[in-house]
Amino acid sequence: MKPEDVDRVLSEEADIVPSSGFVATVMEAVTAEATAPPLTFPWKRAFPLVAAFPALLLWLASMQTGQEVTAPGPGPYAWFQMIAPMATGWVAAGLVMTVAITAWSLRLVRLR
Amino acid sequence: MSAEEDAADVARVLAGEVTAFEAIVRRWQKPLINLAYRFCRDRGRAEDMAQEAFLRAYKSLATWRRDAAFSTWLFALATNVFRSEIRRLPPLTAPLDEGIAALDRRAAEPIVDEERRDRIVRNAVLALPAKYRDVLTLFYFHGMDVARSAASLGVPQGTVKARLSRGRDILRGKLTSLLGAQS
Repeated sequence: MKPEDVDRVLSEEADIVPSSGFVATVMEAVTAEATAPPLTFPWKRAFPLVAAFPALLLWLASMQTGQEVTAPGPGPYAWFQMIAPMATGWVAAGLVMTVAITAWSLRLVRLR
Repeated sequence: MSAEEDAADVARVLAGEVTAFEAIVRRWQKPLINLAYRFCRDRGRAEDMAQEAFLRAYKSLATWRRDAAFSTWLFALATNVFRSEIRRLPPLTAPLDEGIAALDRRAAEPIVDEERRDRIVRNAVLALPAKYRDVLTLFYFHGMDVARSAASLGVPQGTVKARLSRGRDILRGKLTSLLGAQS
């Protein structure tokens, strides 16, 4: 088969005609999309985690304070004091990333 | 098809008049369905794919920058949708095997059934590696226009030319093995 025959076969293909209900089907989908309520952030599902994080911090802080008052000297939370200065930067970076990713996700949801 | 009509309809849709999108669908349904058909060779699936492309176009209408023609933007978006869809669920190429079997049976006879031969050629394009298949499909769909094919694929014209050349070589090899005796 010659190259020009291949060109002819591939370029002179008969068009197919859209079915009669095509426009209506598309517009139905478009209207449904337009009238659909925007996606909202699932605060109900996220609430346990959102609430648990500050609670954990509070618990750690209270344990630390209690430890200092009742049992001075090295205790089970000494490791926390040791790594805290090193970990602060990483924790801050993690928090910034979390906030950025959440903001980006919310923006994407609003764009949909 | 008027670029002014497209621009006016897009402006109306963006202003909140959803029904104005119908004119865009009416204007572009045939080209989009035909392009989808060339990717999947299945009429029903082509309509589904075109519908998905229109829906995607509606959702991202605000991203159309008027420095390019609406048709260029729409074809690029539709091409992306079709390629993703074909990657997700490749088209059946059984008719190609059927064609080979038929040719084996009548190897000594000339091909009198041009329709069958044409189908084998078109299915051979579908069976090419994706990057060559996409370029060949768009090149012939756009009336052998390299610039429009490049715009639809979002790649430089040089890339289209190189893939076109390589794709045609592969296609020629396939067709020689399939139709060699008759060519």
